[in-house]
Amino acid sequence: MALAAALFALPVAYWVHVTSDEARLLRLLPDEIPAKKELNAFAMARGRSAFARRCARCHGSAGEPDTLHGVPDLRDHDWLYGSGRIGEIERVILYGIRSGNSKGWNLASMPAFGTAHPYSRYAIPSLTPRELADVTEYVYSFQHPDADSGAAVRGRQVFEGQSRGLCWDCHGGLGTGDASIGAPNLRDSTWLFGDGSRRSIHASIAYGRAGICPAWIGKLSPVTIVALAVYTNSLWHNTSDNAERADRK
Amino acid sequence: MILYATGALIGLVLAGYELLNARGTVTRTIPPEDVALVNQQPILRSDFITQLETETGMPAERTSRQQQLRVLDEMVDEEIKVQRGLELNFAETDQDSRNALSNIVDQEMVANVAISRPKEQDLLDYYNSHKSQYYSAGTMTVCDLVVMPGPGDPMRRASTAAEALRDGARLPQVLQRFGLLNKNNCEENFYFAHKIHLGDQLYGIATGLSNGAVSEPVRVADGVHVLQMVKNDQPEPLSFTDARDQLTTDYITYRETLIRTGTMNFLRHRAKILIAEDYRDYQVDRSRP
Ligand code: HEC
Ligand code: HEC
Repeated sequence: MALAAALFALPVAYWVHVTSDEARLLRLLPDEIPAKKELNAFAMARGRSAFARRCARCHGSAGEPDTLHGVPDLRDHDWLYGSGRIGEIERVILYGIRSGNSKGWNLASMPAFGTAHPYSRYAIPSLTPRELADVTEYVYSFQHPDADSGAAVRGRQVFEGQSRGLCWDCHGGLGTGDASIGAPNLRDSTWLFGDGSRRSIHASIAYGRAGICPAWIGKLSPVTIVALAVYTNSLWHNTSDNAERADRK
Repeated sequence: MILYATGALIGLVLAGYELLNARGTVTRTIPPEDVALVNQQPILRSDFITQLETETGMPAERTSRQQQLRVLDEMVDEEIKVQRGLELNFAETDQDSRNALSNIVDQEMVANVAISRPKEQDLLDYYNSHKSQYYSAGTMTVCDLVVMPGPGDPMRRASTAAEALRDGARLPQVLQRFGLLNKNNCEENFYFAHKIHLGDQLYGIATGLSNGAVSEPVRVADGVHVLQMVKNDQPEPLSFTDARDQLTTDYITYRETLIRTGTMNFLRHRAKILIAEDYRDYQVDRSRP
């Protein structure tokens, strides 16, 4: 009799315990989770295994980049969207990026300036082969002081052009990017696509880019999604270099 | 025996503690991922936090209780209005709602395409079966010379000018002597751009000219033209590697089209569609040839 009671009660106690951990995790504001040691550990364990199953095939096992497919590094402070906070990451996981979900990020894509119809969202003129080469040289010159300065000066005019190019409209006048629409910083040495060579910069500008991160709402449980966000956030937040940068923000 | 009894007791106490420790009755019936249920329709915490941060412009944990309650209030209002809208059947009667619904269903059909990335082999197969679509853009530097109003037959003047160019006369001199205008400043551009700027007829002639060649005079709507080709880099077939970026996009579009067509066919099959007598020639079932 007592044995039966024990066999029954222990799993029940465990179940209630686990579900209340889940409930507590879900009720916290996402960015408050890391401060709660026990819950954080629970989320990390769950997030780590879910990441391996759902995300690793694109993001690698540790969130490393894949510039052939335009997969960003999740371990650095360089965020396409927002600033890497848990709540922001949770939103990406729930609704995705250009995922087809109407709540996903989809405010801009990189137009294909070397084609007849560069952009599906609004009319934007194609660039000529010369303008493409010049603006490529200008972007290239951000990291390469030895770039052709004549071409870079002409390219800058394209970049800042009011009726053509319009690069500044998305990437900012200085080319430092805009995390509210997912336009990458073009001045730093981190590349989403390719290796920062003239050829790969040219390909981005001429043929356009529109990376996709899928939406998981309805496919993963709410608690798994929060756990994934906590784990993903830890990938970059754990290194002291990044923590310092984050503090300075 | 005593051990088991103790185990049972501890188990029950733990379970009881956890149960008592759960929040009050209001939250008990609400799934923890939601901030509210409005007629059983959840408002997700994550949506609430996004809304809160968008409206206040700060991280959720720095917002005041007052701000949080205000945003919650707005979201409950919105949910109530949406539900009222459904009650009143605006989905059927309001054009904006209809457009929005139709778009979202369209997107929803293909949302799963994004989950898996195309495999390298799929891309390669697609490339091999669509090779004719993968060409570089092609560029031309071509001078579009048009005869200006003046004495003599324009066709005749154009033809002598073309002759002079073929004989190696310099362009500025030819322009001056025969009264021609360099309409496009010998533009260097992609094939597709020239097509727009020159118009179909002149474009068709230009693409056939080799480097240095000069066309016969052509009469189009705005006058008589002569084309001089400076440099013609014709579109070249792209290798798989060079076509890769474009391929990925095209392949995803292709998959989406397949899925859309399949889903729409299924939905049509399921629907009972009646067509008026005078439109009997309309093909309800698109999956049949
Ligand atoms: C099919 C491949 C794929 C899968 C699977 C995938 N992602 Fe992504 N993810 C991407 C790509 C590509 C981007 C970059 C999108 C862009 O260009 O804006 C991205 C972007 C992101 C970002 C935004 C990074 C930034 O810099 O702002 C986060 C966060 C993220 N993914 C997390 C995840 C997590 C967590 C999972 C698993 C639940 C996941 N992703 C699954 C391909 C994928
Ligand atoms: C409508 C907004 C928009 C405009 C205009 C625009 N871009 Fe972009 N650009 C983007 C977005 C968004 C991305 C990232 C695409 C992705 O995540 O897949 C991007 C990506 C890029 C990249 C790749 C960066 C990397 O890290 O790999 C380059 C290079 C680039 N843009 C250059 C330019 C230049 C040069 C211009 C002007 C000729 C320009 N862009 C105009 C939105 C824009």
